Amino acid sequence: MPIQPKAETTIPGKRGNYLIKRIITEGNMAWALEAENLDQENRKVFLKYYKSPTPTVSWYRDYLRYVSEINRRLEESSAHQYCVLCRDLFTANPRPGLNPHEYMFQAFDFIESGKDLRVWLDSGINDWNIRVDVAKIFLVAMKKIHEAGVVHCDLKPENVQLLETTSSMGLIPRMIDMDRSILQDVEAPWVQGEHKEGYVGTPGYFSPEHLRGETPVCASDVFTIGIILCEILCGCHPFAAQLDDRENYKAAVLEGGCYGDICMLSATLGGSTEHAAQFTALIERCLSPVAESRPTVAELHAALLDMADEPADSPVAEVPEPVEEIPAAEVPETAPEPKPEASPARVASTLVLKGNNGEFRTKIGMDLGSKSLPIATTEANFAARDQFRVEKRADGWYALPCVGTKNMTMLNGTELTEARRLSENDTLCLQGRSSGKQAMQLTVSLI
Amino acid sequence: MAGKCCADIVFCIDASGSMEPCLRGVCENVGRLLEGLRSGQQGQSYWDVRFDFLTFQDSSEGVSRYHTTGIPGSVGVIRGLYTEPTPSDFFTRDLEQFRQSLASVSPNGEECHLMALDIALDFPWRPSEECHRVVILLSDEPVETGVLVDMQLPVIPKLIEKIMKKKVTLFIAAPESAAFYELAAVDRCVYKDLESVGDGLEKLDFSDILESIGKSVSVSQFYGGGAEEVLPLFGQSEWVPTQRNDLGSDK
Repeated sequence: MPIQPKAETTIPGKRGNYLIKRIITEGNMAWALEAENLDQENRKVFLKYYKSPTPTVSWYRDYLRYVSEINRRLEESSAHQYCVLCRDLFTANPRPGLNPHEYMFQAFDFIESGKDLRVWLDSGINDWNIRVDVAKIFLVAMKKIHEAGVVHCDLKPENVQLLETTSSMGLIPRMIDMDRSILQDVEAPWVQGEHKEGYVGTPGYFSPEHLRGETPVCASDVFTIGIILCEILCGCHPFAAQLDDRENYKAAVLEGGCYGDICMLSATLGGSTEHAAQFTALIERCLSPVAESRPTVAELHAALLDMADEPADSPVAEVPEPVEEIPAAEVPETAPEPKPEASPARVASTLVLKGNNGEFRTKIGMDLGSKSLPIATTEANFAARDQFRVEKRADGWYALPCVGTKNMTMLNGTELTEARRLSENDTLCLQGRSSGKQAMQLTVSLI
Repeated sequence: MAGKCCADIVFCIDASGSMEPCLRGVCENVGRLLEGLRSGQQGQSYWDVRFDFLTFQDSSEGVSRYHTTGIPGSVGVIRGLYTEPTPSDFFTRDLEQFRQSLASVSPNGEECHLMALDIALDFPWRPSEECHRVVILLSDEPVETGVLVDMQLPVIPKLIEKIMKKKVTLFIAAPESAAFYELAAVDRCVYKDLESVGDGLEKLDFSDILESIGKSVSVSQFYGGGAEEVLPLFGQSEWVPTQRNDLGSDK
């Protein structure tokens, strides 16, 4: 029974001491706290303080190892772009003195400007293209998570953070609440032993495997993705009529059914009737009670791209270059930049910036800085929020300086003062205006 | 959007003499929470809640008085739970009955927290796979300054196991106490020491308790099952009524 956290308490972690600033929310499993890492220039973090499991639970130590492995797989795969990553997992005593127990904590990157998919859905967006784009980026995120060998297991709109960026699309998905996710090849510790529990999920989003007491698999996520896609593209939950009674919900989910009427609602949100028919077929596969009958997320994503690319009778804006595995920022919500009539040389579709922490990829122009570059470098904290801009032009990718930055942006050792075209293996870094010290080295790759 | 949630809640309230200043405030706040749940405020209209209270008043001689919503006296409470179980006498959905019964309790005596907690855990809950079970323990004294401390402290490990076995979510709002910190190892529960509460018990807001437990849940918690048994840790089934007080029991 963890002790209620208090603001202005310092919690010692592995990678710094965390000063609790406020309680953001309280869940069934954990408190969500805003904190500052006092040993990393007061960098703001999202600190989770776990009510469950506690040290009295027989599988507590195994759980710590299991979560570490999930974090490792997410961080070392391309899924890292689509998850809010754990930066520090540790146990600590939140109230030294009378309290004899240590509890589990995880420190995550703090999302400053995000809102979750539930909030987005409730805001009543009625632009069909934006709805399709959000569905696509959500699927990309889930595809990467599955490729990393992880089943999310507790999908719901509240667990999809939509991070606002300065790009024209404006949104990038970040999946959260993966502390009861499961490894595809290792049984979860909490379903074993004296204090065993079932798999975690949320009423209204449980998959048939959850309900049958089976181990959730990727196809279980696909089932829930089907529910969420209905919410995004049709504006309603496919089991809305059964949500008040869990037995009715269970019966409806396990029985399977026809969802054509629900899918046709997509037409009321701007989708074409032709799309609705295609969508019906997809959703009915997703919501099949038989896991093997469901598509993979990759298949689902490809099918959605096909649907989005060929608008029929609705005024759907063109979605440029629908290449798979692209982040949200790659799909502008407005019309794409005009392309030259005939480009003499093919311009790389993707700009990659490689740093000491991974890669940042983009297919469109955007401002980059302290909020976007932690994906690639651990030294993004030296950058301004908008440190420099990258743009895709007719003849290649360009870097441009942003005004008012504390540190200079250097391209191949010289200050970036105007738009300069980027080449393979160019280096970008920061340099102190007075100290001359350099940090945040990034290597350019064009693919 | 989520499915309807069920909860059984027992407010396990210290009704000793020192609680007099804040007991009325607690009554009102508990009432407000339940009213909110019933009327669908606080986004909790999907809750199907039964509730009850167990007030406890004890003496160092081993005399205890308990009240619940439907049973205004220890004899009935102990009999109804242990010797001649009458589950229908426990839990209600009638807020007015709850309020009136709680308001009729006169603060008096000392407190024996863990014994009362043990009794609250033996209430006739709905099956754990059907509903959340919550005990909210409220006191203005630490265990160590109550009565029968030497009898209570050794039971803490068994109490922890019992809480976990019964899948009860325990919420404690009380002053700092080594015993409560020891209980702090129970999974998925919360200890708010009164320093954190700030305004004191009478202003304590309970609404966040239900809000938090309604979020992600283990599927076994929602659809699974578990064996049920009454496991009194203080020999309650052997307790006998005392002549010293119509509502008391000798232990």
